[in-house]
Amino acid sequence: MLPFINFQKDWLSIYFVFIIILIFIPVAIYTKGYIMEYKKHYSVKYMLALIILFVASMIGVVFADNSIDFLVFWEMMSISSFFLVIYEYINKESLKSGIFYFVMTHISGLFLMIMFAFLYKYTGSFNFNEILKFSVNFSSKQKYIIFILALFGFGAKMGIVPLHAWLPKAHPAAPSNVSALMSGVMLKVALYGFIRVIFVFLTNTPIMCGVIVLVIGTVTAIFSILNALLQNNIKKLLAYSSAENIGLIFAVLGISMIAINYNLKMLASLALTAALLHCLNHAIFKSLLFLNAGSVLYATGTKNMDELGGLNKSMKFTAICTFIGTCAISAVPPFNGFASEILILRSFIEAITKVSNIWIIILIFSCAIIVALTSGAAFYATVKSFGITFLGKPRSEKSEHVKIIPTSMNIGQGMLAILAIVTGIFSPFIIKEISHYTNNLLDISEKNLSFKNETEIMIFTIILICIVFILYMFNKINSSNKKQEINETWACGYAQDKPYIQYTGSGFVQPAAKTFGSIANYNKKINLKETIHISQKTSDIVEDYLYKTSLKVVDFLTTKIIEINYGKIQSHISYIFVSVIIALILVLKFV
Amino acid sequence: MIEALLTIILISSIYMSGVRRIKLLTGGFVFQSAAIGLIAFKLGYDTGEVHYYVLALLTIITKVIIMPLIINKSVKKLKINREMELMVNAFNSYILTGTGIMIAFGLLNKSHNNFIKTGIALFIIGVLLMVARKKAITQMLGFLIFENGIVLFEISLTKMSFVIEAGIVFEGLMLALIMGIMIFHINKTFDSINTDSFENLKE
Amino acid sequence: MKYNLFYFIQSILIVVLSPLLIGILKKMKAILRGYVGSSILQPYYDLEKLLKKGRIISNRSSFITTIGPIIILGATITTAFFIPVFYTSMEKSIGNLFILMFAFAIVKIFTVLIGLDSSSTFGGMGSSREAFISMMAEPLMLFLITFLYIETKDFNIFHISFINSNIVHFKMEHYIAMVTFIICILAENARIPFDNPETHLELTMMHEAMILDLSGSDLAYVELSSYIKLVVYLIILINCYIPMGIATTLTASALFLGFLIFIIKLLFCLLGIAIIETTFAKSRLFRGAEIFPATIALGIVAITLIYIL
Repeated sequence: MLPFINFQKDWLSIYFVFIIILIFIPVAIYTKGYIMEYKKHYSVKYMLALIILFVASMIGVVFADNSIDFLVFWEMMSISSFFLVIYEYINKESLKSGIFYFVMTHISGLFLMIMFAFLYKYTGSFNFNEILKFSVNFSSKQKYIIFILALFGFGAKMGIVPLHAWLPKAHPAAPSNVSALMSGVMLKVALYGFIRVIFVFLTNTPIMCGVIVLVIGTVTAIFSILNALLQNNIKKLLAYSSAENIGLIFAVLGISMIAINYNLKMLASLALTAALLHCLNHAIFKSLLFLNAGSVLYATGTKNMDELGGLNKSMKFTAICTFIGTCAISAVPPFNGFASEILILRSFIEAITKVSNIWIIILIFSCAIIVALTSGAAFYATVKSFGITFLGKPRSEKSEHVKIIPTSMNIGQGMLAILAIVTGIFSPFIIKEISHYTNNLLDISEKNLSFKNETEIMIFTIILICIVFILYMFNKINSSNKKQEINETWACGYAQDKPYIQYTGSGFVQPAAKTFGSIANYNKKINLKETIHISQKTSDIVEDYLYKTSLKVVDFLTTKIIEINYGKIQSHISYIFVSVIIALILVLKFV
Repeated sequence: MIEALLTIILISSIYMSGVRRIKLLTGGFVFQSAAIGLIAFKLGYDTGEVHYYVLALLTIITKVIIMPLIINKSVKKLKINREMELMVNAFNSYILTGTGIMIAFGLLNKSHNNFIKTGIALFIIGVLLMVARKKAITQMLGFLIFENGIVLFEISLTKMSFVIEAGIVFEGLMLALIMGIMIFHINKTFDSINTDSFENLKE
Repeated sequence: MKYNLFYFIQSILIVVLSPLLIGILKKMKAILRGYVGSSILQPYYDLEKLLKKGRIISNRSSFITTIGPIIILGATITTAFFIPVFYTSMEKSIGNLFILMFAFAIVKIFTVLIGLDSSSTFGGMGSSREAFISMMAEPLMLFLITFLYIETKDFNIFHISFINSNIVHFKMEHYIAMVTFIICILAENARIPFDNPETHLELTMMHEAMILDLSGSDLAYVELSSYIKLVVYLIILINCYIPMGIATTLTASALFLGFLIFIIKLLFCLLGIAIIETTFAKSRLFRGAEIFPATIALGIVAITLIYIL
């Protein structure tokens, strides 16, 4: 059907391809140095080929012009990412995580196939432009069906609760550059699909759809960040943090959908701009943090925070890049996380004043409080990740003998760090560009931009740099004739300062573990036999209660069915014949 | 003026849902009942009807003067003065109180009568306090907050009957007396008023 | 975007006078407790003494301790340029509330990382408690911005104080929102009942624990920054919630009257803080953290009332 592929020249597609290529270039430079670690046991050319296939299929998904192209490239993306996740096949855990990921991504592909089949049934064509023309005539029930299928299909790929359980398993198992690509870019491609179906095809959805999206987004955000707080594995923490940011974007999309329903076009445009801007910013700083975790893994060989520490002396450049990434994700001005955080909170606050239904106002207000709590918790989690790993004294042997990092890895990280600063300071221009598109999409003709006080961020940065410069000069003049001593840390008079006196990662979050620990199934056991032994563990409660129960139910059903079905060939043939007749009747009647 | 008093009622009920010491709970309850009395007083002053004044007087006498005396006497005899383990911890009970107030105000958005809204909010908070605590004294105070909610609800009716309000006030007084005596006897028999151990009565 | 010369002058005044205001606070506490106490100008002498000394840094500390204190002080002085003190107007100017509230995040992240940088137990303990308390105080800052936006439909602090300065009788929910912000001030500036700013015992310190390892000019910068931060928070409280009497025109009498009323209001706030510090004790970490959901419930009541009652 498709010997050659048509391109969709829409602004939305070009924006997402821009994000993909913007992240791919630093990651590719980084891969050149990082791949040396794998030379001994695995095949390097295999990984390079798979990465190029992965990125090409993502570009194909975003540029796809009709449903068939979309699904073909989606499958290519799923399969190539699966092979990349199980790249380190010697490790059994990676195999298990990879297979889990494979099942979830095919569930998403299944729902997408059903959704596109329904779209074909309602409009009679596979081409996106023609679906756009016919979609204004959809009835409310049809919109609901497409919405639910899109939610499950794209949601399983994005990582929203309760379909998120593969994220904290697959991202740590993959090699770090692949994790950066998956977390930074692949989740955004799923978001692109969701925005394309909901905002471009069905512009005006019923109000329950917007409410469902808002609630699911907020629950994902708070659940993931509280799980992220309690992790010791750096990459698992970053994977949960990705799920939290996706939840935030999802919640803002929900507000936009509610606003379109109430015909508040300026608010809808603001919310959609916030979501699209956060896609770009999150891609940049999350890839940066994953690349940094990869450098730490390359240099020391461990991902556990509690065995690291004091790496700022031996890995200076990586420490500075991780610091910039941490500032960006905690919404510190003038980095880029701050610009999108302002827009997200602004859309929540303006929605409270403009919507008219009292229950929707109560819901948006409660979600705003929870979103404020998650941004505080994101600060806590990422400061823990940077502080315990890089600052202080080395906590074990592994962080004392550090391998030197090749230059290409440093260049890759440096590029992303500079991007984080630049997109932060010049964010007003990016916002203006995105809001042109969203205004056009929602048919707003007036060109008054309500985002005018965003240029204050540049003034703030200029004033900050001037004042810091003046203070630095003052400090230099002041301390030119004073001596500076370097000595041991003051430990209140204690003479033998051991490295295990410092705070560990789990100790750092202990207040939050005591208050919110039940969300992450936090379990602390203390053994007092010959030596005192403390063990803490967390687990994902959605996985424990939902997935394992459903697997048990399926197990139970299959044992029952085997009892019915076992033995004679004649009963097997009659069962097959009956089911084929039923399928024929259903197809003839309903399609 | 009436708005300020209604706000004081809501703030005192938020305060009461999280404290542990019985004296502070009684203090909050006194504050709340005094505010209700003052509201009834002001309404009587505005409209000039006599039974508002009577209601105000009865509320202040029973709930501000007599009931705290009864509660303090029971507390002194039982020698407990705080509730350490709450069934729903203080963190969650504050949040549930806030959510309850929000839902109560949301349900009755259409009517413009402020007393009904505050009354229903007090219902929710009283039931929450009864359910979320272990000691019998705090559960009794939860029921008394529920009573306050009924009084507020009744103030909002345009035609008040003298009999109803007298009945409510005396019922509250009797309840406090009976609970005080009963708690004393329960303590004498079982040596504790922690309702956890009441489950052992099953056998 | 106009930036009046007066805005500049009043911001420089805050930066220069804040140690004096903290000296007045310490003197008030001393009078309430019944001893003479140090003079009002003592913080200036302290800063001068610290600036004369040399620094001692730990052998494990990194670039964070080298550049951290300077950036902390720089960020705090920058926020002083974004708020009105005793003169405001409705012109288009800087002063977005979001930038103001998030600029303190720069101070927070550097302080918490300085605490972890010193590789001692005290630093880690202070950082962990401070990050926990400020995580719980984030919704309170959201309440500030939401409430003021619902009242005045504007995000700029200059415009908010201009619009609110004509009203004398505020509604009840305005005062409830003010109580919410007062608790946010106490949490963010490490005051009782969350932290005791005068002690150096392990059980009772939070902010002091993070900066325990700094000395000399570093400590001077961080101390000055904490003084300016408290004064800026108090000025935000005064000018957003009780701004009556602020000068809105550039005439000499209005400016003089505005300055006088502002000084009186600020002294009242400092007296309030002194009374709280003298009468209450620092609460345990988890008991102190229970104040936050109560305040969130209060904030919910305030916003419900402004919509419905």
